Amino acid sequence: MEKSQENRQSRSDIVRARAWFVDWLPAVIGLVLLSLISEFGLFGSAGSWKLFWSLLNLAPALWVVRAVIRSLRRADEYQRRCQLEALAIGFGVLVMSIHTVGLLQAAGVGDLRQLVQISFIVSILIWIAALLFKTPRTR
Amino acid sequence: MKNRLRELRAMRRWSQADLADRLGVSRQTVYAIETGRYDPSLPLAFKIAAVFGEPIEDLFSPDEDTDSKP
Repeated sequence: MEKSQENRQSRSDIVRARAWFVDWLPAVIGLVLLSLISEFGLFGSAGSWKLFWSLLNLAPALWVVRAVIRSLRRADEYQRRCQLEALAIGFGVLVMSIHTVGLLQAAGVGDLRQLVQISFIVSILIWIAALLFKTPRTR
Repeated sequence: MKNRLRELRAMRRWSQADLADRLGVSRQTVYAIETGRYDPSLPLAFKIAAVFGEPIEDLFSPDEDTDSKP
């Protein structure tokens, strides 16, 4: 009982977690819906409206940027430092990956679209992993 | 930097979350300060001093190796 009391989240943690969820939810729903529309070729996404549906992915992506900025502004000073470190690691990985993709393309190796997608996904996963790795060490 | 946060918190029988509530920060931040992983900013240090009702210099003291740095 005492242990669970010690490990409970503070009020500011609960407020921040709720706000984080509310901020990210529309972007996640949007991305899932757009993926489904694109996957099943609905509403002309496989035909004449392909460009429109592709570019529409920018809307949830911008929403994610907004959510990240709001999350940084809400964080306390220690959390902000952890988040910035994780973002810096993710950004570093992305820059190095894109640079590598450029070098591979210059040598005529690999598919540009696939390599860019992999770089993008890997850098986001590393950003999240860096954040998660940082947090459990303070539990 | 060394600090007496854990000792003062234990004297008041507060959990880390209780102290975090009083400071308006996360529990992880309190843990990080207590274990010396993170040195708080001056505004937060003053807030901590106000919560415990102690002068700031009684709460925080520099590490020995900090003193010897040029």
